[in-house]
Amino acid sequence: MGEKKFFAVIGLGSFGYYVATKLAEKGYEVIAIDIDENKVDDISNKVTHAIQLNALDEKVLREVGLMDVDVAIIAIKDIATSILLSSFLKEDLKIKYVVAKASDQKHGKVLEKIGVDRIIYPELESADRLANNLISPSIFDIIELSSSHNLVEIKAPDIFVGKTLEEIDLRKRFDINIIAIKRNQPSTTETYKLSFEESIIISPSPKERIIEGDILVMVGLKEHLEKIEKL
Amino acid sequence: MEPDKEKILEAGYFYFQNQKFKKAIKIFEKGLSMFPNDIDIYYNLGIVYESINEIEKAKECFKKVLEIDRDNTDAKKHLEKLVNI
Repeated sequence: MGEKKFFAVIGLGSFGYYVATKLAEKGYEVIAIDIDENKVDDISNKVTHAIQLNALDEKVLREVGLMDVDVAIIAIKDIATSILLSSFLKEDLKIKYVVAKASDQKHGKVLEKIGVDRIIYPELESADRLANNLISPSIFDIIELSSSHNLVEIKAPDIFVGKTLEEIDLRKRFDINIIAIKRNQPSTTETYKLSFEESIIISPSPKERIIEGDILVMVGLKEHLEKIEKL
Repeated sequence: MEPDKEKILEAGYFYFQNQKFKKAIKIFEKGLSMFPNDIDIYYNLGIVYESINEIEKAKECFKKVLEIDRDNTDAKKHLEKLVNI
């Protein structure tokens, strides 16, 4: 794991574009591929290589060295193309880790059968997130850990601000653990132009004091977490 | 820069640095009543809101900056990030 991973993103719609540019921003080598020349041009100065080609042209895929990538992300809308390509990358090129975007459950099931390592449903996931956020605007994210437990990220309720974790004692009162605090720290650059840096305090100490705007990352039983969300 | 505007930006900076976010917001809002459509004040107010995760309010401020100065790259960068939350 020590070496830096090498990524390929195939399909540069908005999802593929964001994944590719994000990975490149984080300093990883990324090959971005699409059949549409305009999309390739748009991303060309943001990633290591941007190549215009037909993702079903197996010969060309080999020629560009796709077999050398550690992770391939297939972000193609067309179900048939996405399935054929997944199978080629997994079975023929033997790419270690293939991630594919599924448009619906049926598509996902087929990808699973082919042996795709990770299947994502961006539409479904963002719909879930939006629904949760509309129900409770303080919720930033929810990850289901099991049928009974969730991990949630919520904005610290006003009544917690200024208090230490010891004082609010969620473990005793609600059987909830705060495993991290995400905090934006004001940074001192220019007086006339404010800026901040994102920080994360992992396993915060009981003496840690909650500041306005903190995002609390908590684990607990779903029904207990719901009580906090309503505070 | 006008001396009054300078004072507003300095006071907002002071409160923001000391994590007195509500006070920083008040100062910048007062600033906007004196200097409506001032992009420096709108931008800083957006940063305060973003830093305390008041996403919708932050977006409004950055949109306002872009309405006045459509090529403002800083505001664009922040708005793009917030749209994805």
